[in-house]
Parts: sequence; structure tokens; C-alpha cells
Amino acid sequence: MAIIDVRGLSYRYGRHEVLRDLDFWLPEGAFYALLGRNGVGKSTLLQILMGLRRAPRGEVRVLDTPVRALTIAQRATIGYVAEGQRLPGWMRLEQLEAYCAPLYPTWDRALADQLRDRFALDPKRKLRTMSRGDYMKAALLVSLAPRPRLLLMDEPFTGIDVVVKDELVRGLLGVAGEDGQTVVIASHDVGELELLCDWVGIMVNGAMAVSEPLEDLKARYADDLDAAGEPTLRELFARIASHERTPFAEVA
Amino acid sequence: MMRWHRQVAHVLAKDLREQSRLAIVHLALLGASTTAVVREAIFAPDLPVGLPTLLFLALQACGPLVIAAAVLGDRPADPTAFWTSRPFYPSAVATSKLAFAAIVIALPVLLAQWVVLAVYHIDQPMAARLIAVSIGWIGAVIVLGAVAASQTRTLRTVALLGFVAATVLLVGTFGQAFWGHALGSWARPLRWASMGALLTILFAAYARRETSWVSRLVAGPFALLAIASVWSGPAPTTSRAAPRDLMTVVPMLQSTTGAVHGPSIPDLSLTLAVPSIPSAYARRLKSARAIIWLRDGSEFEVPARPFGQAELGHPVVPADLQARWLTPAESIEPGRTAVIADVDSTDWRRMAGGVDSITVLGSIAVDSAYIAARLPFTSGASMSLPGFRGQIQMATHTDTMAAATIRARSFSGGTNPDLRFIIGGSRMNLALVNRTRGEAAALSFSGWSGGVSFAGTPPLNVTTGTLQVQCCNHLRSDARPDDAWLSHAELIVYGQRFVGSYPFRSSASFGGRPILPD
Repeated sequence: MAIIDVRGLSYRYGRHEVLRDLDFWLPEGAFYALLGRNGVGKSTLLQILMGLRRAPRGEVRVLDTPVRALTIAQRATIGYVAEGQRLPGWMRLEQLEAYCAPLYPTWDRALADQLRDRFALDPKRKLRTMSRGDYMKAALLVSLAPRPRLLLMDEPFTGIDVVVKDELVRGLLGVAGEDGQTVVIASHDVGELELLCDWVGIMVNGAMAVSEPLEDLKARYADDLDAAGEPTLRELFARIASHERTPFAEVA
Repeated sequence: MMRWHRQVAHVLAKDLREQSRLAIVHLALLGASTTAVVREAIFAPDLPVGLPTLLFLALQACGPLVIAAAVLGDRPADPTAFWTSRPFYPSAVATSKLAFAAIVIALPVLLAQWVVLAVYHIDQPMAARLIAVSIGWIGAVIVLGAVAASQTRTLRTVALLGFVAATVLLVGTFGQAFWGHALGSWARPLRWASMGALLTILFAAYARRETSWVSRLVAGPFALLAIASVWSGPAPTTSRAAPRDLMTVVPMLQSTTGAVHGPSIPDLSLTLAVPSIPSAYARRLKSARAIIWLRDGSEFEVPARPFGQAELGHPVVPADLQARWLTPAESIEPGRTAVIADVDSTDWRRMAGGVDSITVLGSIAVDSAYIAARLPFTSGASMSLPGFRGQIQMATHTDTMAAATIRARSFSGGTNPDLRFIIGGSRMNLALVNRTRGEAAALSFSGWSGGVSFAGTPPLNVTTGTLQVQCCNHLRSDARPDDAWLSHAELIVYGQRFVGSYPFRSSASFGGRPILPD
């Protein structure tokens, strides 16, 4: 079943068209890496999937429901970590957990404790006094603790050092791997994503140039890239994203 | 799933903790403002000039910022806002903001308002009316602050918009009458309609989780309309419901310098004394008209004048009395009096008959913490004091000098608590009448002739011989032995919160034969 199904999606900021007739779908349980150069529309796409922006054209279905018709119960099964996510900074982490927990019938207190320990977060510490890395860990904690069916993450690794990235990736892999969650991560950190994802989507010029299982993509480009072994995700991304002006058909 | 109403309570509890500091500042300002007003009511202290005004302005600025801060804590149109990524009912979040404003702003202000109104012994209908006005005003503050925050990004922008709105209000100080007349009876429905529209915009912003130039374009005119309709205040009314406990308006006969040439009598001035209005409450006299009943049974009216507009000079009925409103639209300071009207008279015979009573009808604009209303007042003063009897004794000393003595035979202040501290003074009008020719030939005026103080607590009774004032007047060069002096005198009584003038009539002649009966 497609947990996300997008058809003919277009979106513009004023006169600037960011998304053009975008199509893609995603099976449930996929770990999806959404790649693209800066300003290609990744964040906008995730915001539309969350219902935070209203697309004038196109059909967007999430959890087999038009995104604007999602019920509160359905929204409780979607987690979202925005780029530059704002948390209530005046709260302590434990207060944030207490604030979020009643909103989710599926809130897993044990998982929250486990993630807090794994991320070495101090529950008494106010969020605004946390480092960037701890702040993102806290955001990830409150997004994972409800065990969402679908987790959308927009640039979660930006501005985070390697050690923290590693902790985040392991945390994600641990939880998402256990539950069979669908995870969509938009990021520039191709290296990190290659460890995580089994599906990949690359946006070029506001459209989805490729969106398919990573293995299929690698197999398709293996000969073309003249790599010694299997091409890496970084090489694939560099190859496809560099053809910004090239129609998808020619790239493929 | 958390139900809608539980989400409202959930977000409300969060907001109360998050905005606790701002809320405390607001409550402290409200407490200080209320205390200043109540202290003024009870002790009538001389507060530093401008303190209540400063507190009032600070309170006005703080209210919208508190609600704006709460809205910006969960901005409707921010993809990075925390609430947008959580399973919240948008309407529950919006409602929680209004509930927060009701708890932190509206209820404390209305409670403070109630305390102040109780301290001033405002009667119930008037208090209800003031509270209703307050609710409208607070509602406007809350809705405007919330909508401004929902359409902007930072508290600084909201503050800037607030500054612009305040400027509009200040400019509207002299435009208030214009808006009142322009909107007329539409003011009230327009007020509620614009509020409803702004609330719709607020809820729509939360529901859509985004703002658009369309919503901003629509919100702007509705915000201005809300400000204009609220600022225009309730339509002026001719109701005779007198908020006497809030204000005591005492018109007073007041003499100016006496005319020593030609047949004239001193000008008649109406003095508005508002000793019990706290400065935080009463601000401006908006309009007034006066009806003066003379003792000869006739009356004339000093027509209404809307203050703040061009000064009017009206002929009055009868046409030989000219009246002129004096005071521009200026603040009425508590505990002070202001001369608001001046009546010139060339018909001294009419005035010589004495003024029986004066009624002043008008309205005072009241601005206070969240109150902007017009209070109609009807107040009058009878020019006679029950129980008072006076007598004038006259004697000539030389051909060109006359002396008169006021002798108070009895005086009773009764149990009026306002008379607990009295200073007595007197002045005397002396008229020269040629009875032989049957006409008035001259008038002289003595001006202030001294004063005698009384002090006591009610019941106060002053009896025979306690007030004796003498004055001398030069006789006119054309005075004849057969001329008689008709004297009118008045006793000026001041109380701590009271000013009154009680003329009495007595007559004497050179020959000791009264020419007019008492």
C-alpha cells in the first residue's frame, strides 16, 4: 500500500514555481531519502505532506487519505521534524514529554526513557539551553516516542557534529527498524542517508527525477557510472542532480 | 485521543506557565492602576501628575502584548511551529488563546473595574453600562492583539502595529466625535461585526496553518473598523441618569470684576466643579448646556455646545442675555473647578431679580483602564439654602459712601456630610434704583468683601450673628437722596467636596424703608 501518493503537485512562491507537476509514491515501511540541491523544494514538499502548506494543484494523499482531510487521529500517527524545528524553549525536556504524551494514544513512555538514555539527554534541562545536537535529539525523541507510522524529517542533521549524527542515525535505525515505520528524510548528508535508506528520491528542477528502491537505482546506473564496484548514493546524486536543466527522461 | 475541550485546557495550562511573567507584569500594572484610583477615591491624595495616565497607558500597551505573546507561542502560520507538527485541533489552539486572554486580561480587568465602581458607589445601571463598555473595549484589545500576532512573526512587529493603532487612537481624540457621528447608530453593530470578522480570520489562520496576503488585506480594514467603532464610544444620550456618586457637578454663580460704570451687573459664570472624579476616570467635558431659571419665573437656556469644536456664541431666550461657553475640550482635573460658561447681561433688572436655580446637562468623556465612554450628567443647584435667613443692614456714612452689613440670622447645614468643613465668604451686589422715576439708574458692585470661616461636623448649625461682613461703596456722583439701595448678597459655601452658592435677598434703603419685600 502507498503510504504517500502524490500526483501532479505544483506549488509556487509568488512567481517562482518550486514544485512542478511532481509525482511520486512510497510504500509503507520504506526508509526514504529525499535528495535534491538547495532550493529544489524538498522542505516545501514535506510541509505539503504535513498539511502545513496548501497546494493549489495536484493530489496529495497520505495514509490513503487526502492530506487536508486527515483526522486528528491520523495526524497522531505522523511524526514531523522540521528544519529549524522550534520547540518550546522555556520547557524542560521532561515537561516537553509530559506536554506531548497526552496527545498520542500510542505514546511509549518506555521508549521515551530509552531514547533519552541513549541520547544522554538531561530531562531537567531547559530546551533553550541545549546545544544544537541535543535540541535535535529532543525533537527526534518526541517524534519517535509516539511510534508514528510515518516520520517526516527535514534536514535533521544540519549543523550537527559527526558523533551526534551517528547517535541520531542509530536511534532512528533502532526504532524504525523495530516497528517497520515509514521514514522520509530530506537531507544533504548523502553519506548518512546511504546507511539508512532503502528507497531514494532525487528532485531536480522542482520535479521528482527518480523515485525508486536504492538497489534498483544502483543497478540501473552501475554501467553508466563506470565505477569499480557498485555506485554510491553520493555518485548517483551527483550524476542526476547535475542535470538540472535536463529533462528527467534524458537523465534516465 | 485527547478530546477538543481537553486540548483547550492542555494548551491553556501550557500558555499560563509560558506567559506567566508577562501575565504577572500585566496584573501588577492593573493592581497599581486600580490602587491609584481607589486611593484617590478614598483619601483624595495629590498623586504625582501623570502617574495614573502612565499606568493607564502601560496597561493599554501590556494587554495586547500579553495575548500577542500567547499567540506567537503557537503561531498559526509557521511550518516550524511546534503545534503544527502535533495532533492538535487548530480551533482548540485558537480557543485556548482566547481563554488565556479571558483569564489573564479580561477577568482581572473587569474585577478591578468592579472594585473601582463599588468604591465610587456607582449605581447598578450605570455600573452595568460601564462594565458593558469595558467588555467591548477589552474584547477589542484581545481580538486585535491576537489577530495582529497571527498575521505577523514577532512581538516587535506586533508592538509596531500597536504603536500605529495607538497613534490612530490619539489622532482620534479629536476625531472621536467625527467617528461617533459618522458611524452613528451603526457603531455598535459594526463593532461586533468587525470583531466577528477578525475572530474568523484568527480561526481561519489556525485552521489553514498559514496566512496569506488576502487575509492580511481583509484583516487590516476590519481592524481599523473595530478601532473606529470602539473608539467612537457609545452614542451620546440625553438620559437623565445622573452618576452622582461619580461626579458632583455644581454650577456656581461667580462674579467677576464689578463694573463701575454704566448700568450692568457682574457676569454670570457657570463653573463646573468635579471634585470627586479620579483623574484616571474623567478626562474631558464633551458637551454641556445650561438652563437658568430666574426668580421672576422666566428661564433661559445656554445652548449646547459640543466642546472641541468652534466656540459658539448664542443669543439666548430672552434675547437680551448673551451666553458664551468658555472652556475648550480640556482635561477636567479632579478636585478642581473650571469655568465653562459665561453669561453677559445688559439686562440687570432681569438678573437683579435673582437666579433661582441652574441646571446643567451635558456629558463627560470618561477614559480609564479599558473604559472609553460618555457619561451624561444632569446636575443643578438651587440658589437657596434651606434654613438660611439673612438680612442686610445699610447705612450711609457720608453723602458719597454707603456701608452694608450682612447679618446671618440662622444657618443650617443639616446632616449633609459634604458640609463637614465649611468656609464662608460673601459678596454683595448693590443696585441703585430711582423709585421716583420707576427705573434703574445705576448699579454698583462691591466684589469680594471678606470671609468668615466655619468649621464643624454635621449636623452643623450656625445661628444668629455668626456672620457679619461689611462693605463700603462709593455713591455715584448723580445719586439723589430719594434714591434707594437694593442689595442682594450671597453666601458662598465650600465643602471638602462641595461648592455652593446661596444668594439671599434682603433690602434696605437709606431711609431704612425696604423697597422690595423679602
